[in-house]
Amino acid sequence: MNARATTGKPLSISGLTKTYDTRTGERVDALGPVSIEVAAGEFLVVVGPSGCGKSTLLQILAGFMKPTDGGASVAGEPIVDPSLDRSMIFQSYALFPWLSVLDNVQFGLRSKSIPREEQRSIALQHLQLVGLQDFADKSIDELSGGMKQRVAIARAFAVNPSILLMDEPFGALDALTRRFLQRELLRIWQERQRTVVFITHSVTEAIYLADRILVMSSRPGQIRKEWRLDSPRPRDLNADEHRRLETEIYSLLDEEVTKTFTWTS
Amino acid sequence: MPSTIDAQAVQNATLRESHNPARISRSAGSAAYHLSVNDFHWFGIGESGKVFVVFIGTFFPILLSTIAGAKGVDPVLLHAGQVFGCTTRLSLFRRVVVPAALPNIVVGLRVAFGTGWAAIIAAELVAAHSGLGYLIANGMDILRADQVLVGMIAIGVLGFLFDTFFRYLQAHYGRAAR
Repeated sequence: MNARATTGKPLSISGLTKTYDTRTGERVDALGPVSIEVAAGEFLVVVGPSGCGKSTLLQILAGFMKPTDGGASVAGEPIVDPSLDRSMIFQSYALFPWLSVLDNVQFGLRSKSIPREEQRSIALQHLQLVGLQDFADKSIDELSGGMKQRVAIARAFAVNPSILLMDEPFGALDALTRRFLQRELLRIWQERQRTVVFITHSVTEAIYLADRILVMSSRPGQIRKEWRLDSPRPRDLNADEHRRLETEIYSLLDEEVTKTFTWTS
Repeated sequence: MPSTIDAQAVQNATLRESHNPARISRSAGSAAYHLSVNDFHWFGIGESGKVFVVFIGTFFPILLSTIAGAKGVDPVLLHAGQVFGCTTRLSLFRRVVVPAALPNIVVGLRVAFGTGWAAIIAAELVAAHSGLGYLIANGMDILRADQVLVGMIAIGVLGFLFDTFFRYLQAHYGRAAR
């Protein structure tokens, strides 16, 4: 662990619900009620069947969307708008293709009152953190998927957020790149100790990364069960306890997925 | 009836305008062209007619492609912009929407240049007293084939050069936003 003081902040979600109005005028309960307390510097992974509202949850935490009821707050301050303090990593990278790699990482720094020179050096520093310092002047189109996501990680950390929101960030990557980036993310997170809310479909990914795993039910998404993991990192996914946990989580998820399908048919 | 009086007034004004000495001084040959095309007739043979025709020919391709470009911005890029510091709608517009829509806008400019170029030549052919179109029309009237050919070649070469310029713009600012 790092000697640096924890810079993550606690995240508190209480009684959060989201209801959508469909075009035909029906109301669909997408999420909740959900209440979660995330400690400062905790790595929380949320797993759930597709359509259970976990992306909705993250959108609300990011401030893109207002909850129907309840709310979320960071260190006591309610979330109303998107903010640099809650950085985000997207599944589809969401890099700006008209900017160079370095300018992408620098994008978020431009609205902070830091001199240009310093912005540049912070951006470079973060490119170095993900091992892409030699690609600073490349265009985004020249990078592979894994490299793009590394740029996105650098961009997310460069603004010095206290909370990191990740929406299936490695979902679009091949298995090898995925493993590599999981290791990289853990390394950076251990160095920086930010509060992380990570959403995934992959149970093994959850076990590999999480301090705590939440399994959500099918729609409307609620917390079905939670597990705390305190085995030391890097974790051996073939260890007995992890195997057992994997089986347990999968059986719970299978139940939920079955519900989803019996409802829609 | 008021409407008849209005129509009469307009007709009088048009007549007065078409007997304006400046217009009559044009070569008799192209006067026949311009009388046959109502739009040009209204605007006379000055710059305003050409401006009007070019405006009609270019405004809508640019407008439509700009709208398509702005609407087609990937919502995830808008979210990324918001997360990374675009707190106002204006800054999101400037820093994300405009650059993301630029490829489409450049395509619109390129298409509009094509139609605009064709429109201005056409306008000059029927109602002008200068320009490449007029050079051709005049060459036809006075049986100067060389003048006609020079006009045609110049139109082609200039069109090609302009398109080369727009292709350059496209290569530099038109990087496809995924």
